[in-house]
Amino acid sequence: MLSICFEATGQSQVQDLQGLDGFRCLLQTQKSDPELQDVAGDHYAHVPRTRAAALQILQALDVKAYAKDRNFLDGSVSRLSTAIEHGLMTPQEVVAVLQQRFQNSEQAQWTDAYRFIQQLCWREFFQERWRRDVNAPFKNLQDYKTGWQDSDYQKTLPVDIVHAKTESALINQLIMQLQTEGYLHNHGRLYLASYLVHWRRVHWLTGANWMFGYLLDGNLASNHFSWQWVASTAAPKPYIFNLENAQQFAATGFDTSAQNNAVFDASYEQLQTKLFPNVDVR
Amino acid sequence: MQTISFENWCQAHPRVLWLQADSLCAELATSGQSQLVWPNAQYDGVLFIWDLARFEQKQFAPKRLYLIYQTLQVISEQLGDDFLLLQGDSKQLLQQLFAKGVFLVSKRTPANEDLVDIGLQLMQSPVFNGGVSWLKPTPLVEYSGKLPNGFFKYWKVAESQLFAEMSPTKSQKTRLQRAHKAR
Repeated sequence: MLSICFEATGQSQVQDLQGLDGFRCLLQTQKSDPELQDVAGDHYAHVPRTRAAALQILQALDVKAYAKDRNFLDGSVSRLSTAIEHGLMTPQEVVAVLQQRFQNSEQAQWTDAYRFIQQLCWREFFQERWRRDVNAPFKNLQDYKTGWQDSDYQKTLPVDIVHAKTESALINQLIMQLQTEGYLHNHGRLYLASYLVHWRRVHWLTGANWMFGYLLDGNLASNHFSWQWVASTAAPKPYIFNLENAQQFAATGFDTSAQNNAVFDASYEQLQTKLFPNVDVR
Repeated sequence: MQTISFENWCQAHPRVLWLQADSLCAELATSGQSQLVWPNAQYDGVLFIWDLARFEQKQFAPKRLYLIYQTLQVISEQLGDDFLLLQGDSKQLLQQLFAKGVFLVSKRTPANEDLVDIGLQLMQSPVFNGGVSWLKPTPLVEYSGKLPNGFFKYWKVAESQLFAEMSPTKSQKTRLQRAHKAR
């Protein structure tokens, strides 16, 4: 791939970019640090780089399985978010392809894609909000319902979170997956956001910026408004979870033992009282 | 290695599709869905501006940048000399392009509003012959009026448009919506 770079003198320099060395040129670095080596790793083999690959995934999508188990961290998600975010396919196209697929199908009907389309529309909803106000992702849309003020939330990420050395094995695994793979199941993102905002009282914008910086499929609106949804500045109540919930949806591949996740081992009522002591629950 | 001259490339490609990080698809003439990707766009060449400072300001991780790079490599292989990657500051590169009389067409999304502003600023100058026009993607859901705070009021409208002819029965919807509340 040939590229042109203009120097300060106005002269142009032509470069032939190939492989990882070409990428280093674009990053303006000669470093060979582990992260740059890792970018070419296996974690991303499944991520489509072409429109054809994305369409293939969509044609093979099992919408019934998606509707049934998409909330489980090992559930049947499409992994098309990266392709959609980078414009390899449009949301209209996703709808058109699925409608065409199911038009005369005996295996499934268009209505079987209901839940998948609904999730697509969550993204559209966030995009529409962003379209109408380009600054909306960065400011509180509503007051908190946590009993805390904006100034009660810390703007710096605690070091143990940065290094995935928190009190919870589940959270540590989620952090490491985010940092290593640049991807987390949506439910995992909600767990992580909830822990940071409500247990650690980290400001939602700090957490949102941190997570966005790792995501391969990061959409500013979807990410930041979702963090606000967790925090309650874009929802009628804060989102919290307990260990029972995590054991149901994160049973496979994650440590959800009570011993290593004591911080979540309580009822919702107990957590509500502990995390939001200023809220009158009567 | 082939050599290319910026001047010659611009002369040969007066109308250029300007890809952004959220519109990395140059395909036009595919099946009937082609209009959904770049509706009505006419172009001679395709380019991408690799503005590293801008990507860093947007907090794009190296892994994400590598994915973009790989996608651009595929496009480069498909288009050959009709594809150009420019490295540097977006404003300076747009000045270079406009000065050569190149007309760009690109997709306008909230992520690219800074580039819209730059383009408008530059096109006010009589010095430049080129310019940029922005295609606004059609939203999946036509929603007029105030956007509700909550998703499910929006979804009612979306559902009526997307499932208009084949709306799920009430019992199907109830079954589907009884899933875990965490979206």
